[in-house]
Amino acid sequence: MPTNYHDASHATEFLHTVIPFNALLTDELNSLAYKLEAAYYPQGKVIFSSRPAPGLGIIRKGAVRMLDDKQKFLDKRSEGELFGHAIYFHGEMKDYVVEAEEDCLIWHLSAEDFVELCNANVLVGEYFSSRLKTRLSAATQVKHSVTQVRDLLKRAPVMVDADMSIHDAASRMSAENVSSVLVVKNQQLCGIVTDKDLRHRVLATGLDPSGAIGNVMTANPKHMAVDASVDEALLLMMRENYHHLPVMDDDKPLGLVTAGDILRAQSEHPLRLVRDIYKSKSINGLLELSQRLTPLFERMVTLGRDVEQIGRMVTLITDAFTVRLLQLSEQHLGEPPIAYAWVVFGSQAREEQTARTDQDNGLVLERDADGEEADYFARLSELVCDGLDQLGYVYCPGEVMALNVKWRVSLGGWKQHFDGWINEPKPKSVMYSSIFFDIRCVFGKSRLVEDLQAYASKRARENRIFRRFMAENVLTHRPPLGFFRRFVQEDDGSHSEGLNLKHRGIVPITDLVRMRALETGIHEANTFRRIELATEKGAMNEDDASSLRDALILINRIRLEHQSKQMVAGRKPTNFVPIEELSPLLRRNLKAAFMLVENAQQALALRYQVL
Amino acid sequence: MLDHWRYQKRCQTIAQRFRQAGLADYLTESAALEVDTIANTPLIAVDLEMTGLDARENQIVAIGWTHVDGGRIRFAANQHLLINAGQTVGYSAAIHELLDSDVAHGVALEEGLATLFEAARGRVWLFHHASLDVGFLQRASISWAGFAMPFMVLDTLQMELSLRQQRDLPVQHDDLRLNKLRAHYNLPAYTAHNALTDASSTAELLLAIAEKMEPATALKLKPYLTYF
Amino acid sequence: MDLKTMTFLVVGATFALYVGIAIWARASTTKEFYVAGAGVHPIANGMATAADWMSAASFISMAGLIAFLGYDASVYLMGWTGGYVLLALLLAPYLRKFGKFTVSEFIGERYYSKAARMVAVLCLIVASITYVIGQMKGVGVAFGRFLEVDFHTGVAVGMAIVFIYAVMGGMKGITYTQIAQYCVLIFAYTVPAVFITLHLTGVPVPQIGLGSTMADGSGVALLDKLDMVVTDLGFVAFTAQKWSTLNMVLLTLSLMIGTAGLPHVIMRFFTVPKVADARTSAGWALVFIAILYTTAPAVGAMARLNLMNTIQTGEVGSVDGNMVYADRPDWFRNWETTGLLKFEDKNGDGRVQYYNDKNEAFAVKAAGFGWKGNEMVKVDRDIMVLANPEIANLPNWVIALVAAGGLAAALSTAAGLLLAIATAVSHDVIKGMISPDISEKKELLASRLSMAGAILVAGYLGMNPPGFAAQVVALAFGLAASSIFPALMMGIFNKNMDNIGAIAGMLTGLFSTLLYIFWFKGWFFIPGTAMAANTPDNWFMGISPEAFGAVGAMLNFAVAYLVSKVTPPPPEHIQHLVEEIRVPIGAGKAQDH
Repeated sequence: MPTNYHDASHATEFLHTVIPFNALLTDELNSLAYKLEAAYYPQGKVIFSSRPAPGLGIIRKGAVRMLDDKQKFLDKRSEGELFGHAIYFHGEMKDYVVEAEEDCLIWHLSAEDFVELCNANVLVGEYFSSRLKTRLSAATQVKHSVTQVRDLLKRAPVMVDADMSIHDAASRMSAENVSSVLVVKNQQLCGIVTDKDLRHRVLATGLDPSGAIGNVMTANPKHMAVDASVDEALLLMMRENYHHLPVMDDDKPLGLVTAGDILRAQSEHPLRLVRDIYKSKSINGLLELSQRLTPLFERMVTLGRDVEQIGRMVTLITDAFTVRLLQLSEQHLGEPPIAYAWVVFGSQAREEQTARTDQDNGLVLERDADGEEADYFARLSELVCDGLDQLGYVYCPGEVMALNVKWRVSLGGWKQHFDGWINEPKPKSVMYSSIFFDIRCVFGKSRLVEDLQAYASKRARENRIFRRFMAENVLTHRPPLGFFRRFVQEDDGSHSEGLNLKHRGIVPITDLVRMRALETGIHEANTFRRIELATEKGAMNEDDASSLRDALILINRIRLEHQSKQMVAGRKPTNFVPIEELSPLLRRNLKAAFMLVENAQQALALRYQVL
Repeated sequence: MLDHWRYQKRCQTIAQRFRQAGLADYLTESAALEVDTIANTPLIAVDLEMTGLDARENQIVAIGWTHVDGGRIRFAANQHLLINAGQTVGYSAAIHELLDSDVAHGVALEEGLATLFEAARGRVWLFHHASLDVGFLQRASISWAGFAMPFMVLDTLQMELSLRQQRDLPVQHDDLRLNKLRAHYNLPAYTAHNALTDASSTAELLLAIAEKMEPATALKLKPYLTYF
Repeated sequence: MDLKTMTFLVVGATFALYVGIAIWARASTTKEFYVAGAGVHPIANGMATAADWMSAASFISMAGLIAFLGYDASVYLMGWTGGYVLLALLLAPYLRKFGKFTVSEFIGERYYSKAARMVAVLCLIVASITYVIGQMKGVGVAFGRFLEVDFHTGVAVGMAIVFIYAVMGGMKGITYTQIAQYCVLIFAYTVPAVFITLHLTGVPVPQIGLGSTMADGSGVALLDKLDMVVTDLGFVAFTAQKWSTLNMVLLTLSLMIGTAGLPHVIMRFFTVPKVADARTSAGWALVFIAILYTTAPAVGAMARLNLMNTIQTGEVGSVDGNMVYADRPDWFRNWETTGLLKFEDKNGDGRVQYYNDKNEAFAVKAAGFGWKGNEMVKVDRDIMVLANPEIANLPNWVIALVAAGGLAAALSTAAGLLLAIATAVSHDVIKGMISPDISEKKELLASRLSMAGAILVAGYLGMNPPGFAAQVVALAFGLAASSIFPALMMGIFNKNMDNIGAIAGMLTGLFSTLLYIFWFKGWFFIPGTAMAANTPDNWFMGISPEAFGAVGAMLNFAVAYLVSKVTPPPPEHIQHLVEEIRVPIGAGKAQDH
C-alpha cells in the first residue's frame, strides 16, 4: 500500500532476495536501503581499483568481474551478488579490483555503513566474517555430524597426462572451470597441479608453457581413501597446509576435495546454504542441498545460539527451499495466469522452526480461478508440495497445504474461510484459527496477504465471542504443574517420562501471545515481535511481557539443550525432558517459568470468563 | 546561452516580487546554479501520477523524487507523497494503482509542493518527458504561489532522442517509453509502479544515457537543458 | 447410619465427583495438533445450561413459595420460563451477531461510551450481588440444617465453600461438571417428589399426582383436600389468587425481562459454536428446566399438606387434634436448631397450634378452642423442600441427596455469578478505567478480592434477609429488568438511541427500582430502616417491590426516549451497525471487499 513515505521500498524488495540481507527484518532492510546509492557502469568500466575497497557493492543488474593485482581473472559476480568484502578465492583471501563485465547498475554501501551494519547485525556480520578459525573450531565440536570424504565428492576429477603441455593443461583447467588437475601416467596418479603451482612455478619463473605439465606438478601427492572420514581429511590438510586432496578408491582417482568443500560441509553458514538453494537449478540439486540440513541444524542447536536467531535461520532455509521450488515450478509451468501469493502458516510463519517439520502452506489467488487457471495452480501446488515432501518437509497430517483445494483459493475465498471460523467457532474452526492466524507470505504478491491479514485481524478484534472460543482452546494446553505445583511428567511414547516442554511450555506461550495479537489487531506472526508490539500498543503490561518472553526463552533453551544432548548421543531429539536431567537451580527456574505461564492463563481465563 | 540568461533573469525578478521565504531561496539558488557534468551538478529526479493527461482538468495524485549527487542516486533522499486532490482518481487508478481511499490519506497539494520545492533547492530538475509533468507543476504553482514557476530541466526522453539523431538511429514512437529505454540500457525492470520508482528509474536512465553519450569523458549537461 | 453421617457422605461424594471431573478434564493429555476437540453435544450443553439456570432459588425456594403463596407463586414459574425463552429467542442471537458476550461490553460499544459501559457494569454488579444473596440464603439453609447448626453459621460455612469453589476455578467452565451438577440436582428434586406423590396419591408422577385424588380412599382431589386443610385453619385457600392481577402481571414481566441482564446465563448462549446448536441446546435446556419447574408445584402443595397434617393430627378444635410438642418428630427438632422454625407454647397446653391468627374471624373461633395465637412463630418457607422428605418419612439417603442437590444448585449459579462480578470489577472497572497498565497478577488479585467482597456482602445480606431466597432473586431480576433490559432492547431495535439517552434511562431505571425496594424493605436491606411496612396496602397501586422492576423498565424506556430526542443522534457507523445486527447470521453476503 503506497502511502506517504520517505524510504526506498522498491530497494527493500530487491534486497530481500540478496544473501545475507534476506536475514534482516523489514525495518532493518529499510534502514539499510536508506543508506544506499546507485551508480551505473558501462561495460568495461572499472568500478573500483583502490584497496581497501570503498565499501560494499550490490549488483542490481548486470555482472562484474574481479581481477587480482596482476589483472588476472578471479571470479565473476552477477545480479543479486555482492563484492567489496573479503572474498576467498579457492580458499584464499585476496585483494581484487572490480570492473563491469556488462553494463551494470550497482548499489553502493559506504565502508562506514558496511562496518556499522556488520556490527549491528550478528547474522550479517558473521556472514562477512573472515575469521575462518572460529568457524572451524565450532565445527570440530560437532563430532556426530562426521561424514565420509565420499560425501564431499561432486564431480569426476579433471585429469591430464603428465606429457601434456603446461599451456594445454591450463586451458583445460579454465575450460573445466577448476582450480586444480590430477596428473596421471598410465592411468596411475602421479601428481597434482593447482592454480597456485601455475602461478608460482610457471608464470613467476618465466617457464616455457610448452613444457610438460609433469615438470611443474607436485609429485606423489598425499591422498585420502574414499571411505576416510572428513575429520581425517581436514586434519591432514591442516597439518600439511594443503588445499586440495585427491580421493582414491584403491588406485583409482575418484575426485578431489578442497578445504572449501570440507568447510562447507562441516561449518556451513546457514546463509551460504540459502545462497546455494537459490542457485540450484533442479529439484535434484535441492535434494542434494537438503542433505546438509540435519548436520546444520544440529550444529546450530549445539552451538546454542539464541533461540530467536535459530528460529529465524531455520525458517530462512525453509523459506528458501519453498521459494526456489516455486521459481523452478513456474519455469516449468510457465508464467502464472493470475497473480498469487504463497503463504505459510504455523511455526514457519512465526519464524520459530527449530528443525525440519511438516509443511503448512496455502495459496492466495488474486481472484477466483477459472478451469484452466485452477489447473495451473493445482499443478504448481503439486510440484511445490511434493518437492517439499521430498526435501523432508513432509506432508502436513492435517492437510493444511496448497495441495488441498480448500487452501488454494482466492482472496475472497480466504476471507470466507476466516468469516466461517469466526462466525461459527466449532472446535475445528478454532483449531484452524490457531494455525491460520499465524500467516506470512513467502512468495508472490504480498499485498494479497496483507489485505487478508488486515481483514482477518479486524474481524477477530471485533468479535469477542470468537476470541472466547480461542481462549478456551488456549487453556487446554496447561503447564505441566499438578496440585501443589508439582511437576507432571508425561510419557514420550518410548516409555521414558519427561516434561512435555513443547505442548505444555512453548505452545501455551505462543497461544497466549497470539490471543494478545488478536485482541490488538497485530499483523505480526513472530511471538517475540508480537510481544513487543502488544507492549508498545499498551495491550500488555511491561512486566507481563518480559515475564512471558523470559519464560519462552528459558523453556526453549532447556528444550534445545536437551535435544542437543540427545543428538550428541546419537538419538532422535524429542520434546520430553526428564526432571532428573535438570539441575536444582534449573528446576526452580523452570517451575517459575511455568508459574508465569499459569498466571497468564488465569488472567486470560478471567478476561474471557472461562474459569 | 540566451535561454539560460533569460531563465536567470526570470528567477531573479520573480524572487524579488514574491518574497515567500522558501520560494525566494529556491529561485535565487536556481538562478545561481552552475551546470556542468553529472558528477558535479546536483539533480532532482521527479515523477508525478495524475488523474489524467490534461493539466487544466486533471490533478496530481502523487509526487515522487530522489536526488542525484556526484553521479550517484541517493536513496536517502527518496520521497513519495500522496496528494489529496479532492477529485476522484477514476479510471486512472488502473495505471498508478492508487485508489481514492489511498489518496484520501495524502497531504494537501500546497503542502506537497512546498516540500518538493524545498527538496529541489540548488538542483536541476530531471524528468522523463518533462513537458507533461512540468505543465502540471506550473499549473499547480499558479494557484499555490500566484505565478508559473520557472523550471530548468533535463529530460531523458529528449536526451535519448538527440543521441539517436546524432547517430542517425531510427526512432519508433514506442522506443522512447521509460521502460523500453531502460531495457535497452540493461537496467532492471521494476514491477511496482509509483511516482518514486519512476523517478528513480529516470535517474538511473540518465546515468546510463550519459555514459553512452560520452563513455570516455564526462558529459556536459548544459546543452541538454530545457527551460520552462 | 444416621442422617448426619449420611449427609456428609453424600455431599462429600458429589463434591468429589465435581473435583474428580475437573482433574480428569485438566489432566487429560494434550491432544494431537491437527485433531480438533469433539465439541459438546447440544443435549449435554442443554443440561449444563439448566444447571446454570436453576439456582438455589429454583431448587430450594420456589416450592417453598408455592407451598405458602399457593396459586400466586405460579408467576415465578411463568416469569422464569418466559424469561428464558425471551433470552434465547429475542436477545441472544443479536448479541451474538454483535460479537460481544457480556452485556456491559455490548452497551459500551453500542453506546460508544465508557460511561455507558460503566453504568451497565454498575447495574450488573448490583443485580448479580442481589442474586448471590439468594444463593447464600439457600446454602445457609441447607448447611444449617444438615450440620445441625444455626442458620448464621450455615451461611458462614456456605460462604467459605462457595469462595473456595469459585476461586479454585477450573470447575465451573467444564461442561461435564455442570452436567453432573444437573444430574445430582434433578435427581435430588424428583426422587423425593415421586416418593411423596406415590404415598399421597398412588400416582408415581408428581405432575399428574397433583391433579389426582388422594390415595386414602376418600376420593377427594389432592388440591381440594389441601384447600380444605388450610382454610380449616383460617389460611387462605391454596388455589386462591391473593395478589392483584396487576401485581402478578408486573412481577411476571420483571422476572422475564430481568433474565436478559443476568450475566451468567447469557454467557451460555455463546459457548456453543453454531447458532443452530445454540438454539437446540436452548430447547433442551428448557426441557431440563421444565422437569424441575413442573415438579415444583406438586412438591410445594404436598409439602404444605404434609406439614399441616403433621401438626394438625386430628379434628380442628378437638383436644387431641394437635401434635404434642414433646412428641415432635426429629426433623422438627433439627429445624428448630437452625432457628428457621420456632415454636412458642402460647397457651401452655404442650401442643402445637398452627393457624392463621391474622384472620380475625378464625381467631375468634380459635380463641374458643383455647388457642392463644399461632404457636408456630416462625416457619421459614425455604425449609420446605429440604424438610419435605423428612416430613414424609423418606429414607435417610434421599434426605441427604436433597442437601447435595441444593448445594449443587447454589454452587453452579453462584460460581458463574461471582466470575462475572470478578471480571466486571477487575477487567471493566480496574483495567478499563482506573489503571489500564495493571499487571495480570494484580488483575487476578483484584478479581479474587472482588469475589471475596461480593461473597461477604451477599453473605451479610443473606443473614439479614429481606425475603426468601426466591424473592431476593426476584429483586435481582427486578433490578436487571429496570436497568439493563431497556438499554439492550433499544440498542438493538432503535438505531437512533444515543449514549446520553441510554445512560439516563439506565440510571433512572436502576435508582427508581432500588428506591422502591429500599422504601419497603429497608435501606440496603437493613432491618428497621424501611419507610413503610411491606404490605399490599402500602404498595403503590398494589405493586410489590419484587414486581417493580417492570415499572422501572418502563420509566427507563420513557426517559431514554425523551432524552434521546433532545440530544444528538448516534454517529453514522453506529446506526449502520445497528441495522446490520438485525440481519440474521448467514443471511449476510460473504464480505469480499
